Amino acid sequence: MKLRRLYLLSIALLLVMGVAGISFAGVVVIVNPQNPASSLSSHDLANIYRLKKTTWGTGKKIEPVNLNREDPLRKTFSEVILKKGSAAMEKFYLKRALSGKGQPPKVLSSSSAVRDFVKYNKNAVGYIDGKDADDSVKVISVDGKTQID
Amino acid sequence: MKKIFFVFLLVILLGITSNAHAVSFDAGDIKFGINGYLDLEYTYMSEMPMTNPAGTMIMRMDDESSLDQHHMNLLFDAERGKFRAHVNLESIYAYTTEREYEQDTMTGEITGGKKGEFSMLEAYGQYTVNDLFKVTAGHFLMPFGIYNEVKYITPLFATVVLPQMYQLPRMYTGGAFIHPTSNLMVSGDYMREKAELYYSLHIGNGEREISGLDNNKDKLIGGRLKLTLFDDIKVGVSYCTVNDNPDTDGRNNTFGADLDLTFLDNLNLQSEYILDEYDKQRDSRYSYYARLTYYIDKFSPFIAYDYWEDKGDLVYKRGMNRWGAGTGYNFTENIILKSEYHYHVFSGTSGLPDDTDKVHMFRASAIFIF
Repeated sequence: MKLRRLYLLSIALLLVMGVAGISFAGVVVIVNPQNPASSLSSHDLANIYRLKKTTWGTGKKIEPVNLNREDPLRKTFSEVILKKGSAAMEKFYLKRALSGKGQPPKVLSSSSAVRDFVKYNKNAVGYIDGKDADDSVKVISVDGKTQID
Repeated sequence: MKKIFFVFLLVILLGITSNAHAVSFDAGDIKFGINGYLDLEYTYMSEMPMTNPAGTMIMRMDDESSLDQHHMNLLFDAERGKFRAHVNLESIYAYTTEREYEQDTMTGEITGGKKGEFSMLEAYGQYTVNDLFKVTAGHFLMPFGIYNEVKYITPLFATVVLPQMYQLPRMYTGGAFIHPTSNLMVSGDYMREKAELYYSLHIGNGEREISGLDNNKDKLIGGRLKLTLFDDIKVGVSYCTVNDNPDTDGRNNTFGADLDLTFLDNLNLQSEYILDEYDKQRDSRYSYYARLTYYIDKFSPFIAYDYWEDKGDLVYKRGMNRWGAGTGYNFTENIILKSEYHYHVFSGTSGLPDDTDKVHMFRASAIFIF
């Protein structure tokens, strides 16, 4: 009987860990821990990456950072938040640059590079794989959710 | 020989730009960007009426075709925190042809330099206090209607030519409808979940040509409001006033209203109306258009109707209707091809030379972004 309980408990524990693991993987949005923001609407986040919303509530200039256009995280982010594919967003950024509306966000090569950039830049915002998030950055919620899917 | 040169240039550019991308780099905490574009344009126009340079007699202009480089622009950007600087240089050669075909000086004189040199289309700095309040100072294309800020930036629109209110009919001598540039501006965006409001208020020297001078003391004052609803509905109004030629025209007021509507995901309808009024001898002018564009994969076919009337011009006082159809094609990310046909019909024919009341025009262009 005890063995059976232990077995069931183990199964339940594994399930909980599994669920926790799944919920933490995927795309999360991060800011510097010193940034007072703890949440954003998907509309505001999209406007940041569309270079329309350029300042935080504190008045500081927002510094968005992107991943390479082929990165699957960027593809997910672009489709879910920006409602456009990565290629369409590249075209959008080119048009903004040609019309003098601003340069595109800085592009970094990996999720951990984005985390490190945000870690050292107070006004930065980026998106990374949930498994790369640690205490050096702050995960913020988007429309009340910590994960973009 | 000239055409062979351009075809040769075209082939080289196809090779160069197929893999080219804009340059962007950081130096310390300053972010730099360098972009550029050039285009080649072919135009055919059948016989059409025109006035003599003094505007006192109607004449016939023979049909003609041309293959030219219209734009070659280099753009430089620098951003540091909330400050941003932007410079757009345009080659004088391109600028000269622009004047001949779009502003029509009849003589094609170069007023701002020699062929082969670059002239300054825009050079300004912008400081962002917050999204609601930005200050721009320098020499920039004036916010007016949908296209005035991008009218020289051919990669940004799907057609070869813009509506006539932005690109005046060929051989028209009445001068630009909309003043091109301004010099000091406050602007901003008020953003909410379903709606956004853009505003701009500006003051400028008020010259009518990009490189022209305005010697009177009166300055141009203007502004624009644009309301965006659900990302797909954009409604705008624009206004500017200036004492353009105090002795002859007097105060000049220009009003504009515009609508940009996207529906069924890929269909876009644009429409604008503009009225240009003077309080002295010169008669008012007005123009309006509607254009429906379907964005499908790499193609952007469109149909359009455009009307233009200037009561003070011997030819255009009768009003000119223009129907157009064509398509743009994004060959690669850096190469855009466009072609279109326009059919012009004058509302009244009395006094026009034979066979000039209906004008056919075909235009095609290749744009290279580097």
